[in-house]
Formats: sequence, structure tokens, C-alpha cells
Amino acid sequence: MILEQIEKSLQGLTTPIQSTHILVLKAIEDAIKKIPPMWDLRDYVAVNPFFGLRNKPFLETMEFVQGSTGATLLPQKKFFKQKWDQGEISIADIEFAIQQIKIRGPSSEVIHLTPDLVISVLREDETTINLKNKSISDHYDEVNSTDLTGLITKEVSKWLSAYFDEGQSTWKMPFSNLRLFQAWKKIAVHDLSLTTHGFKIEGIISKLSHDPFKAIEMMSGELMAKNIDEDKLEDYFYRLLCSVAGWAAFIQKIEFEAVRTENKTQVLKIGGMVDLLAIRMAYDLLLLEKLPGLELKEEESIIRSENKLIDLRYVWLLACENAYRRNLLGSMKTSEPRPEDEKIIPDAQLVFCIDVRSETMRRHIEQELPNVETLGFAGFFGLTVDYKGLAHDQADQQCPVLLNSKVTISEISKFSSLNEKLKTKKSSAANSIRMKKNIQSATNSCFSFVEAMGATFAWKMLMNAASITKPDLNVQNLGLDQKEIDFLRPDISNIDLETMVSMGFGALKNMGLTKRFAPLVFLMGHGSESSNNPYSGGLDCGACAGHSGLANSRILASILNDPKVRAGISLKGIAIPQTTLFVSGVHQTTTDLLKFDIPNDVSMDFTNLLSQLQPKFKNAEKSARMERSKKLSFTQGLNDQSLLKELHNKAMDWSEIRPEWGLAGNATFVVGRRERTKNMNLGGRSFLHDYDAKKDSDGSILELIMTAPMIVTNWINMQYYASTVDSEKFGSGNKTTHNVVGTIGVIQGNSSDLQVGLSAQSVKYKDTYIHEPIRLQVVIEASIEKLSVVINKHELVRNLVENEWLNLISLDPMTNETHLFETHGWIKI
Amino acid sequence: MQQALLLFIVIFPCLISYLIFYRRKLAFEPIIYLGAIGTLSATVYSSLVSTPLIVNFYSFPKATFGLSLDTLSGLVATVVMVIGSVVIRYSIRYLEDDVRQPKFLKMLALTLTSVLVMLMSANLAVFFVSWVSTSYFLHQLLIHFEDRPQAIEAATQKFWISRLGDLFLLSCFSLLYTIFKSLDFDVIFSLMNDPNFVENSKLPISVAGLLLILGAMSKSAQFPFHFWLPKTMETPTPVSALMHAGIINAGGYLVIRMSPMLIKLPLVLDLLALVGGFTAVFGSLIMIGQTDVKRSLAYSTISQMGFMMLECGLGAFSIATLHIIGHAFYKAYSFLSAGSVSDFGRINRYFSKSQRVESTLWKPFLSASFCTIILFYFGEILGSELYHRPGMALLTFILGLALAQTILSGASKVSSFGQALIIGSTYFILSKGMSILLTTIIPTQEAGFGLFDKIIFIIIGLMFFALFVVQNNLVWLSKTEFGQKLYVRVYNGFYFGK
Repeated sequence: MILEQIEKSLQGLTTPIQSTHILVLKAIEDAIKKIPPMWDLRDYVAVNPFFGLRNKPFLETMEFVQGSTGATLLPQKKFFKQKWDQGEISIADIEFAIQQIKIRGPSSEVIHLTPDLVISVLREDETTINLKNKSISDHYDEVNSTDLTGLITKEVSKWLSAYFDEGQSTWKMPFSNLRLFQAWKKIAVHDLSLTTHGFKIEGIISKLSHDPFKAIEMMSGELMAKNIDEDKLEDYFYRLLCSVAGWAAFIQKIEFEAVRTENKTQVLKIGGMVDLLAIRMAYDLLLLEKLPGLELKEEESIIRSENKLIDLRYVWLLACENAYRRNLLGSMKTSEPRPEDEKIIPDAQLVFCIDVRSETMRRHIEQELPNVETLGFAGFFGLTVDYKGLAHDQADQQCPVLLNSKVTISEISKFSSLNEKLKTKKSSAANSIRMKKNIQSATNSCFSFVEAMGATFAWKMLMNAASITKPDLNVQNLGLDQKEIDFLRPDISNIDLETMVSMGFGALKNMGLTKRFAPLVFLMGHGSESSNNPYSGGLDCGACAGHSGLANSRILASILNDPKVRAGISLKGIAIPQTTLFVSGVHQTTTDLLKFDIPNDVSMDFTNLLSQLQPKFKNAEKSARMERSKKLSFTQGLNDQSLLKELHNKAMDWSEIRPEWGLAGNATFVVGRRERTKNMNLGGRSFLHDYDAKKDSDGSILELIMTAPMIVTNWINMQYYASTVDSEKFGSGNKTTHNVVGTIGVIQGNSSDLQVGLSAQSVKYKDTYIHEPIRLQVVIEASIEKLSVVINKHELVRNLVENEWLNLISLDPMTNETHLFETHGWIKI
Repeated sequence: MQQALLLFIVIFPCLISYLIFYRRKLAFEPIIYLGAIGTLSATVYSSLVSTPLIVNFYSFPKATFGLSLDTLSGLVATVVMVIGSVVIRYSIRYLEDDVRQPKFLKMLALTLTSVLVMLMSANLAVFFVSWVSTSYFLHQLLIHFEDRPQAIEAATQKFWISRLGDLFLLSCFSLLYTIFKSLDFDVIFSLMNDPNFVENSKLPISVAGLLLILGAMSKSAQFPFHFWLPKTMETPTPVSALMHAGIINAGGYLVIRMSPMLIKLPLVLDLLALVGGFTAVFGSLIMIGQTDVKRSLAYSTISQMGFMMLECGLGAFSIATLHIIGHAFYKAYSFLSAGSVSDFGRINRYFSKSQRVESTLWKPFLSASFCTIILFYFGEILGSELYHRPGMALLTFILGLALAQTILSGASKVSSFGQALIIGSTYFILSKGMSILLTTIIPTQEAGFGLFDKIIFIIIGLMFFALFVVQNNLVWLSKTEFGQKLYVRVYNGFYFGK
């Protein structure tokens, strides 16, 4: 079922076809497909920015996107030079990289590749990127040395931010109830912004049809008559969308969700990508009149020509990945797991999210408590649910954005008598906050407010500066105190037993916890804490759609502790002993603290066991914290207590724009038995998913892992990659000049396109990369035959592995042999 | 002792930045507020003994170069020092990985010191020099990212506006010197108390007053000198916080400082009221159309500065001082916490059903009439004689509109009514307190008002009323072509500086 949903959501949306010229229509559709979706700040999750181009090989895509955006998409030579100088990359790694390229097809461009040639490139200057796929405005700028392309980006973004504003402005854009293109037409007709540059947008608007398809067709006709070939249209449209890539991605998300949820209300309301394309094209056509002699037909092709030498930084990227993989696989091959002994029951089991930040914590727990096992599983615990906070009108999605949630679970208070009281508290807090904002942002009332209340901000400012309070509202729990927050629980009473049984059974089966239940099983979600940070969602659990995973862990714990559910699960073949208790908890990743929901009505045995475990957990937290702090600034040489205080300050401090670098450095996804990696220090760079091929005879678990968690990890990895190699165009640039727009997005400085990726501060420190931009190494402990089955079955997976969006490595559980998936098949490594 | 304290206060920003440069952790220690505590203590002391603290560096026959801290300069300096300290602290982590952080800190400290000297200058020459140096160091902060064309563009526009302002001020001060044969504030003010002297040089004094408010307008982003301000977001957030909270109000401070002179120039004050009132209405109208937080805050500053100038123009200098203080804290906080406005997007999602809808036409009218009548009634009871004081009457009318808007702001009538009550009463208490505090420094008597003044005031009142009507009829307005055209102009800031 989950698989079907993914497939469906990935098919790409076909916007209703009208009687438009079929060629133009095809070009529009193909250009639109290339744009990735982007979730807004409220559910900010990582997306592979090249997701729409996944059916093309990595290098070809990089060159195509470079040519269409002017971005730099391969790491700087400086980065490779450092690795080479420090001996991290060996000559063998380069040789292997050359071999990899050559076996793909000995073409003229690679025949001369030698290690010497590759090494010599490090002495040359950094590569400069030229825009090759040009819009009319690009040509205009070239002829006149202007930056009208940049200006148009700002103009289009200006209207898009007015149209999609969710709470900043008091005066909403008129006509925002119409579809985007029509709203823009009706309102922008009065816009005189371009008159100082000699252009009147009014002139072109009056010529355009109401229907964006027809408008594009008309404009394309004008273009084709003069300057452009039919087969160039698609690239041309893509370039236009790239010049407003942020807003394009924002709209693509709405289209993406419509396909996924089969609910088109929102798309029908706003129109869609075609509306944005039509708007952007109108500005382009405006410039055409002033470029009478423009001839586009002889432009050089943006796909690289046959004779051109391959970009040697790509060879270095491969070599760099080879070096990393060499170290990784070396120790994994030698640590062969012993067969599982069913008689040995661990003291406790802790299930963590696959997140790279769990790796450090798990390793330290295992070192501290040899009798405790840890497991890795996607942090939504397989629960496809929405979670609706107490008193909220709308729920948050709490599962990967690729999946459809099936159930909405509401939050209630542990004591039902308190429900109404807490609800009232929350909604009146919300009303009061909104009222204060209205007073401040309305004309007239703002003046007396400042005079009467201004001084109170001195106090607030000092409290924030001392990290005692933070400016953020505790949005999930408005107006509640800590005691009341602790009363809140998911209400599972309205889910029917059958659903609960299948949820619980699925979770246990897929996480590989079917036997040997410890008396205590901790289900650990994770969440990050930061202050004044619009991108806080990016540090939370990606598998929970950019929210904390605590809700899911609580839901699953309640389900699995229910005796009726256990009975149902045992009928399906998993017997949970009566003595086992599931405990929900959360891993705070900024401070590396573990918090558990300790039930207060449990037997003495549990209490004793807990009191034995807890000091050890504290030790593990401490050493995990120490290890991770080595990467951070301000934290060197502190003892644990001051380190914790410092990390706490980081989470609270409104001036902290690097609250944590936990996800930076992600490089590998290991799917296999924990024993394979137990003795390795993976340095917080590895996603870990438990998988035992023996428990998965039909391959369904493998299929699930490769179609859901593997995609999520690929999205995170590619987002970090792109934000690192070009933090201006594919990241969100410098965070010190971030400016929140419409309360749901971020722009740079005065005005810009909506920003798409991570800020420079998330991936770089001074001039060095905090995140090493290499592609994800996915090591799966399964035979190549089993992996091939999934690859052949799912186009999406095939796209990712064949086109090198990740490197797939099979570690055979029987023979310990490793194979790397190459474009034309497996090669032994 | 006095000398040491005043010197300590003005060099404190440089001192602490220097120390932080070598020991970053100091930024997070309470020591960073030592300057603010010192300034506040000095202010309290000078207020209690009712004499300014003075330090003289050098005395010419015609001018004394020194610093003077009285209740007015002390209060504003304390505010600047608190905000400055918070901003310095903020910049430590915020710009941690910026290779230009040392230069940034240096410029921040020098800007602060310049502002402090300006506030405490006892003399027009010192005032002018620190006025120019503030602008120079701020310019360095505005071009922190020298590779950003938009940053350079905004800084350049500001540069020329500032030079124009310098020109106004320099001409004003030169003229004042030729009239009063002195550059000391005290000398000028005491001569202004001589009716014969004033009568004899009425024209030059008026021209000097006009130049003075032109200089103040240019510094405090008054229409038409405002357009550069919303474009300064290409520089790190703490610079915006400092500029909007500690520097932009320098023009207002100058007007208040010179109030003993300006109060004798009703025509100049009328012009100030008109420009200020217009800027307040204009800025706040543009503010409500903005979709990004920083630009919205920038237009808010423009309009708040306008309102402060309006108060000065109406002779309500102590309320204007209150405005400077309140606005400084409010705006510094708003900029420094601007990242957290994304919370509102979440709140609007979670509580989507309880969004306030625009009320019907009669409600705003009812609410406005109610508030205005109540306020005038109270004024009558408290013996404010509003009928004979058109300036105060206008302010009361605007306050009535403001409280009416407050009542209309919440989904729950009870809480918004309570909020209006709190704001109204706090406003009265604070403005009363401020006028007591500043009683010896700024004039208490009001300028005589004639028919011309009254006409000006009625025009201003009508502008605010029109603004109130627009604010409460946005949905209806958006349906008309006039409203749509207005919206586009509002959203684009009426194309100023494009």
C-alpha cells in the first residue's frame, strides 16, 4: 500500500490538457517535471534538489543544471586538494575512479584520462561556470550589461510572496482568491515598477489570455516566429523556472501533495506551475521588443559535446567516495555477526531513528551497557499518521512526506477532566498572541502600543540575551506550563483494534524486533531545539515530516502496551512477553539528552531496572555529547557540566545560527545487522537501519527500506551536497541576512527568490566545509540478487542507483563479498 | 569623579569590544551591562540633584568642548547603551565565522561611542562632529558585505541623504553661531528667553530652526528622505537592530534637545508636525502591505519616527522622548527576534478557524467615537483644557483612534477591551511621569496657536482618520479599482527609491 502511494506520487502531475498546441504543451510539462518540490518552513524537510532530473545521470544533470542556473555543482578543487595533501585519497582511489568511468563506455573524452592528468587539475584555478541555457532577459543583460534577470526574479517573487502570504501583511493581495496567473494579471497591471527601466508590464498583460496555457502558447508563437527552435522550448521554459526556482519548488510541492493525497482542492485554487511559468515568461517577452536583432538559433548546446574533456572534479568526487568507502567496508567485512542466540535476552532495547545523530548516541550506550541492544528504524516507527495537537484545527503530518497518512490521531490530556480547560487555555493564548500582533501591525494602534508597552521589550530583550527565555513561541503547547504539557498524550481510543494491530505488527516486523523482547523497550524519537530559527524543522526528524518524533514514539508505545493489541499481534506470529514494557522517549539532538516518559504505575522490577539503567544512560549522553562537541565552536575543553550548559545555551540563544551540525557530514546509509558496525566508530556520519535478510524471506522489508528510508536519506544527502557546493543558488546563503517572508519562507536581504536549501552556516565554517560534499554510500547486507529484484521492480530506485544519485553496495551476508552497483551492473570491490 | 564616569560611559563600547576581542566569553558575562548600569546611575543621580553632570575638555572663549549628562541625554544614552550591549553580545555568536567580525565589532563600538558623545554633547560643534562620525561608522556597517550590490546601493543612497542632512545642520549651526555668538546649548537657550533678542532676530532664528528640522528629518528617515531605510537589509540583522533603535532617532533627539528654541517658532513646528504626521500615515500604510518581516519593520520605523516628529511638532516633547525610548526597545527586540516570526505561520495553521474577520463598517466608527469621547471626557475631568490646547486635542484624538483600533484587534472583545484599557492607562502614567522627569529640560509651556495652526492640525487629524478608515475597510477596498491601484502603490512603497 505504501509502495503504491509512492509510485503514484512520483508519476508527476499532469495538469489538465486543453486545446493547446501539443508541442508547447509537451515542453511545458517536461520542463515542469524537472523542478523538485519544497516544503514550507512549517514542515521543512530535506529534498533532493535534483529529484526532477533523477532519470538522467548525475554528471549530465550537474552540467545541465549548471548551464541553466549558473550554479557550481561539483565541489571546489580546494576541497579535493586538502584531502589529497593529507593523504586521505590515495592514488589507487583515483585509478579506480578512472576505471569506473572507462568501463561505462570508452569514449574519446575519457581515453586520455590518467592519474597524473587528474592530479594536475588541482593546481589550476577553480572552475568558472557559464550560463548556457539563456532566457531573453539573460540575452538582454548580456547585450546591455544590466541585471534585469535578477530584477525580474525579484518582481515575480514579489507577487508570489503577496499571493502566498500566510500572515505577515495586514492588507492581503486583492484577487488572491483567483488562480495565481489571473490574480497576477489583474493586480500587476497596475504595477509601475519596471517603468524606470523603460518597460510597461501593462502592455503585455493586456495581450495575454486568461488561461496560462493559452498565454504561453501565444508567447511561444511569438518567440518561435523570431528566435527560437521548437525543440529548444523545453530548455527555455526550464531556464525561466530556474530563475524563480524557490517559488517554483514551493508550487511544485502543492502539486506533488495533490497527486499524493488525491486531493486537488489546493491546486485547483492556485492553478499551478504553469501559472508561474506564464508570469515569468510575460516578463521575458516584455524585453523581446527591445532586442530586435536577437538570434537564438545558433546557441551552443548545453549538453556537453563529444570531444570535450570530462570535468576532472568529477573524477576527484569519485576518488573521494572511493576513499571513504574503502575505509568503511574494510572493517565491516571483517566483523561478521554471530548467529543470534535466542536464549540471551538483553536488559533493554532502545529503538532509535536511522538519523546519523543516533549513531553516536547508540555507540556510547552500547559501550556503557553491554547488555543493552540498540536498533535503528525510521523515526516515524512505520506509523503513517497525522497528529493533531490539543485544541488545534489542523493536524501535522508525522510520517515521510512521500507517504499518505491514514489516520489522524488527536492529542488529549491524561486526565479527561482537564481537556476542556487546557483547550481553552491554548486557544485563548493563541488569540491573545494574535491580538498583540494585530495591535502592533495595525496602523494607529501601533503608535500608542509603542509608547505604552515599548519599555517591556527592554526586559524581554535582556532575558533573551541572557538565554533565560527565547523569542520563540512554544507553538505546540501555547499557554501551557510544563506540568500541563506533561499531561498530554496521543488518544488512540478512536483507532479500531484491527488498525492498531496492523500498525504494531508492521512496526515490529520491519524493525526486526520479533523475538527476544527485553523487559524494557525504549522507542526513541528525536527532536532538535534551537531559537529564533526559521529552519528549525530541518533539524527535526525528516521521517516525521520535519517535526519531533516524540508523538510517534508515544503512539507506538501506547499501541504496543495495549493487551488487546498484543493478543492480536501474537495471532500474527509475534509474541510479546507480558513482562515487556514499551517506553516512549525523545533524543534531544542539540544537547544529546535522552528523555523518557516514565510510567508511574509499573511494578518494582521495572523501577529497579530503570534505576540501574538511568545512570548509565547519563554516562552515555555525556560521552556522546563530548564526542559531538569536538565539531562545534565554543565547546572545546569544557567539562560535562559546563558543556551541557553551553549546549543548552546554544539551544536557547537567539543569536545562535549554528545550533547544531548533527546532520552535516552524512555520508553513508548502512542497512544490516548492528553487529556489522558495532565495533566501528562511524563518526556520526552514518544512517543505520537494522535489517536481517534471514527474517525477510520474501524481500518485502528490503523493498520497503529501499523505497522509503533510502529515499529520505538520499534526499537529506543531496540537499546537504547541493547546499554545500553552491550555498547561494542551492542553499539559502548567509543566515545573517535571512528575512522571513509570508511567515512561511525565507528570502535573502531586501528581496530575492524564495530560498531553497540550507544556510551556509549549516554546512560551512569560515571557508571550510563542515559537510563533506560526497554522495551517499548505501551499504545493504543483502545479496545482489535480492537487491536486483527491488531495483528492477521500482523505477524510482532504478533511477537513483543507475544514475549515481547514490552508490549502492551489496554486502553479502553469506560470503562477505562486496559489490558496487555501476551503471551497467555490479562490480566486485 | 564626574569626569571619569562620563568618560567611562562614552568609551565603554570600545573598551568592552576590545576586551571581547581577546576573550570572547566576556560577551556572555554580566560585565557587558556595566556601561548601561553606569549610565543609568549617572542619570538617576543627575535627576535627583537636578543638575547635569558635566565634563569640560577645553574651553574657548566662545565655546566649551565637553560632555553633559542630564536626565534627557542620560535616559536616551541608557537606552542606547542597553541596546548596544545586547547587540554586541548578539554579534559574537551571530557573526562567529565571519572573517570580517573583528572589523564589524570595531565599527559597532565606534558607532556606539559616536552616538553617546552626540547625546551628551553640550555644544553644537561636538554634536555636529559626532553626528557625522556616527553616520560614517554606520556606513561601514552597512557595507559589511561589500560584494553585495544591493548593500552598496542602499548605503550609497543613505550616504548622500546623510550628506544633505549634514549640509542642513552645518548651515543651521553656522547661522546659530552668527546669531547667538556661541555654540553652547545653554547660552542659546538663555538668550532665547529674552523676548527682545528673539524679536530682533526673528527671521534668522526661524531660518535656523527650519534648517534644523530639515537636518533632523533627513537623519530620522522622514518623508521624502526615507526611501533608503527599507533597503538596508543586506547587512547582518544586529546592524538593523542598532540602526533602527539607537541611531535613527538622532534627529528626534536633536529636535527635543533644541526644544527650548523651537518652541518659540510655531511655524517651524507646524511644518514638523505636518511632515511627521504625513510620514507616520504614509509609513504605516505601506507597512500593512509588506510581506516580509524586515521590510515591514523598516516601514514601521519610518512611521513611528514620523509620529515622534508629529509629537514634537505639537509641542509634546516629553511624550516624544517616551516614544523614542519605547520604540527603541520595541524595534531592537523585533529585529533581533525576526527569525521567530515563522511561529505565526504555525499558529495560523493550528488555529485556522479562529482568525479574526474584518468587522462591519459601523463597528470601527462606534469604537472610534466611543474611545474619543471617553478620552475627551477624562481630559475635561482632569482639567487638561483640551479646547484651548489644539495640539493636545489632536494627540488625544489620535490616541482615541489608536485605542479604538486596539479594541478591534482581538477575536475576544473582553481581552481586547482590557488590552486597550491597559495601553491607555499605561500611556497616561508614563507620559505624566516623563513630563515630570524632564520638566527642567524641555519647555512646559506650549506655543501659542492661531487659526493657521488649527487648520494644519485638522488636516493631520483627517489624515489619521483616513488611515483608520482604510485600515478597517481593506476587504471592501480591495474590491474597488481605486483600492487595487492603491494596494499596488502601497506594496511598492509608492516606488520611492526604485
